[in-house]
Amino acid sequence: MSEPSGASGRSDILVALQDAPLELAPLAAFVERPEAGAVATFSGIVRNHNRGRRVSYLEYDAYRPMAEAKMREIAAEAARRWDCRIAMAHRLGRLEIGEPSVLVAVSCAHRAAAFDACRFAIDTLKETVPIWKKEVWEGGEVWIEGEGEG
Amino acid sequence: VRVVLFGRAADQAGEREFELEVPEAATMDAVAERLVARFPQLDWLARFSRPALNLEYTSWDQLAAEGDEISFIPPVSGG
Repeated sequence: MSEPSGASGRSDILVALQDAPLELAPLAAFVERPEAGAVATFSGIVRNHNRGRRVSYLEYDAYRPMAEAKMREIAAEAARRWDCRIAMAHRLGRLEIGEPSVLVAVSCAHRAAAFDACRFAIDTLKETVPIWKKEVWEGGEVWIEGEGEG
Repeated sequence: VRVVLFGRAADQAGEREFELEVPEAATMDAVAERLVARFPQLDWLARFSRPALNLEYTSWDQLAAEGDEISFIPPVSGG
């Protein structure tokens, strides 16, 4: 699980849930191919504030097997709808400010499809994949449930 | 059935995974009721979540069978 693997069973999608720090380069390398003239990537980064509160760090929990299955479904749908290759990775456990929590890389023939597929993937992940973040600040903590724009 | 909990629900229950005895042909609704009977502090979960059966979202009137893995998924906050 720590190494992004092609465990998805399809050669055009890669999905990973991992405790180790995320790196964009292996995902971008996975989607690269001679047919693709456009690679779009998204990096979700832990920021130092939320709803007017200073955040010390985040802790992510997941229903791992279901989250992985849902991410695979999202990637497969993106690959089919936009004819792209796609790699998605989400990190779990404790994350410090400035660290990436989620990465998406998409390659398509042209840029419009790459942007659309990348946006679809991250938006759908945030709506449906069973992962939750706990916000920890000095003197308190709270599990976030359904925050919309995070 | 096997019930799995995450995040706030797991913290409050103090358990992430356990067996829950439910009547024959119990709906997801009835499973949630049993869960709240065991952990009254989880009554919010039955009201604010979607049931999941064997890794798929499902409906509240779906029937559970022996050996099923069931969870109740509050609004997610990944990303």
